[in-house]
Amino acid sequence: MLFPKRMPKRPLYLIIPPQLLVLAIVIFPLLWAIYISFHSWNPTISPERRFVGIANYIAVLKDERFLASLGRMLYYSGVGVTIQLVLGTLIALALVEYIRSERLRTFALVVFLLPMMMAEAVVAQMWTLLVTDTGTINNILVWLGFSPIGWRTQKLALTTLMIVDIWQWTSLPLLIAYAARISVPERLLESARLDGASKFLILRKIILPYMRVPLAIAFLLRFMDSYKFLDKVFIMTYGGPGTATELPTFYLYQTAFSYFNVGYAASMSWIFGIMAVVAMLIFWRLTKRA
Amino acid sequence: MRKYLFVLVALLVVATFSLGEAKIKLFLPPGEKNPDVDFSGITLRAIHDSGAGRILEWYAPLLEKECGVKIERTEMVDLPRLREKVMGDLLAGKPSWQIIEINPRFIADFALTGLIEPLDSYFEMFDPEDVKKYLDDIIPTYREFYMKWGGHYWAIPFDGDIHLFNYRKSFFENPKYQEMFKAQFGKELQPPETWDDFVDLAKFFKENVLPPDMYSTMWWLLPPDGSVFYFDIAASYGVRYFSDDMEHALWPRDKAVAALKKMVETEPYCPPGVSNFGFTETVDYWLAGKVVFQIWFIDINEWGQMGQPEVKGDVANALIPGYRDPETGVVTHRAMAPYNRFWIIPKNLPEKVKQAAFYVMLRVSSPVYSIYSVADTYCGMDPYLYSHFTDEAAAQYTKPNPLRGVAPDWPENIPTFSTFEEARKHLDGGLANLAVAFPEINWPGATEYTESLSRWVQRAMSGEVTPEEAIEKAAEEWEAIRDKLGKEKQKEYYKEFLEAGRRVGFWD
Repeated sequence: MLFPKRMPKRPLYLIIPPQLLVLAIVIFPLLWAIYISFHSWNPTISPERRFVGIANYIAVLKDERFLASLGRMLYYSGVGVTIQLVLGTLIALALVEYIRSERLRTFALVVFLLPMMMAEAVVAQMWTLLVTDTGTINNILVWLGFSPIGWRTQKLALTTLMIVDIWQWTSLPLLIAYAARISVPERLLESARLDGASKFLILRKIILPYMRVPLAIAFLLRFMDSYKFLDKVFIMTYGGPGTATELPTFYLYQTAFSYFNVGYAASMSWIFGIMAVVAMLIFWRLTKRA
Repeated sequence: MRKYLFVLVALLVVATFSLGEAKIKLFLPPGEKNPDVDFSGITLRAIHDSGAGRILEWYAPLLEKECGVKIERTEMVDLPRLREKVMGDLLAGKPSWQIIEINPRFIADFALTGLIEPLDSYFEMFDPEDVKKYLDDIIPTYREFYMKWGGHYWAIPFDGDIHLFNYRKSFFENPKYQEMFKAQFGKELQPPETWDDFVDLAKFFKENVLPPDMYSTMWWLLPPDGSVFYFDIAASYGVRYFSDDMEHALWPRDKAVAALKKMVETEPYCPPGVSNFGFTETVDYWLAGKVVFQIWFIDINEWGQMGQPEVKGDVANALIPGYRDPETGVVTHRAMAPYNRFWIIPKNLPEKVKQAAFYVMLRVSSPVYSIYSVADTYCGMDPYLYSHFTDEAAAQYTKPNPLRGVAPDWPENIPTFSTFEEARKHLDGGLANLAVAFPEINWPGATEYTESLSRWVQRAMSGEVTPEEAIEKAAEEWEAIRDKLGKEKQKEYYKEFLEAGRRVGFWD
């Protein structure tokens, strides 16, 4: 039965306009992208679209540049998001465990959340100034007697972007972890303490199990965000040096808006999108099982 | 008698029809009512990159007096986003702007969409003699490669660009350094004649003169423009984008490798991380006085007037270095003429609006207005007409722009140079390099070609790959791009490119 018997029908009419809107601005473009992905279409070469079947999809899956960018994304997302999650959790636990004053704790929380409230472009510009070879960070290193570091060189550029992202986005897992931690019933903790459980045992057996689901959601949110990571790459490195920081989103952007290879970009975006859905389903299943 | 009368009547009829409409005069003074044109009731809106400035708004009151057209506030967008924004808008079918800035590197991309207007017939609105005078006044590189494509005119220039050798005078004129340099290299300390000299100078300054936080030179290597700076060297070595039959990319290949090796030789004398340098870094380092010389656009000389005290008044330019043929001893110089700003008109507009847009574009592009724009520091315009290099034009650099006042968006109106001599030298440097100009790629796929080569140049400069590997890989990618975009079509386009080069005497 589609609707319960007692549910009044009239309000259903009210949801038709928003549904139409969603259809127009979400569903139609998705379907259009599928249609385009089966065509060879570059409006800067010819206005005509040529049906090519699944040739674009096969070409994308053989495209070394795309595959290399996926590898970079796995490194960036896997390592970067994990660090954000661990760091956020540790800070959240430290705030609750070691800061007794409510005011001080709120103040610290606000300070930690500030980076997250800044625009991506602003953060990218700011960090560009910090990590240039003669920038603030290297000047401090030299002043301390260390050698300057080539933050945007071939070897380090992607890690640098990851560090910037960690700086900005650790706040989100921190906020979620903090909320999860303070939602752990105090009586449970009190009982455990009375039973003589150590702090570590309480953390392992009570606090972390309570925090598991919120942390999984935090990981998922950040993973999804990292999937569409573009702004910082665009501003800080433009995918370089060479293609050292070229992530799939940047390559997709280049293909669609620099080369205007629209059909190919559409198929790439669908492959990339399907990968995201599969990755999230696997992750969710693993989390549920755990 | 009747026969003569018939002939007379026939002649009168022919004369009446051949007179047709009166042609618009192109060279009337700014703001003078143009008797042959009326665009009252038409409003135009333009889109520029944020560095271009608001020249159409400056001249809007004068243009309205001339023909009744109104000009709204220009939309500004960051340069990297200009092409995609405009292309997206045109593909959507209803143009948001009537006057659109593009870089000529994309002229074919836009022309092939069928969404922009070829301009040949619009020139016919104007007095043919005036049109001829205007077209003859345009530097051939800009006219043949950047205004035209596929046998049609598509774009009107309002900013010309050329690469030059820019340097700090105080370092080259210091008697102590001159003595040291002569003792070490056995030649005079002066702007380099060849790329070998360029490397010697870089080595000398970094190893003997400069403090740790100063550098001899630097390059703009960020894609897609890094390839253009590489071609300043490569083109002088005789490298072409492709062999004449377009079978081989970056040809002759050995010369292409030699040119990249020469560029890589300069890396130790550049700021660390130079492979990531783009517009911002090359300008910042220059204006902060951190670099002694660099290949850059003509603008840097003007901006040098606004740099740190040690830079202000200490910048000069010269002919770009070249390649000395070991057999003949002849030095070939090739200065890239990349970037530039040109206007195009979208197709899907009422005819009268397109005529008004063309009128505004051509008037502001003509020396009547542009002689003041190119000398004005509040816009990114640089010379593109021969008349921009005259003494009259040079004198304008020492005066405020008489065609505009001040407003919140352009709060000053001050001269660029303090003396005529400075302005004259600035223009002489530009003209010398324009005489050896080398065009950037202007056929479909330009973005992909330049982007690909830039990334390999970056890799070579950062030491990730050798110059040989970089050129081989880049050539492979270029040939793949050529095939992907349609080899036969690409060959046609390249043939046309070569023919345009022959027309202006770039190659045989």
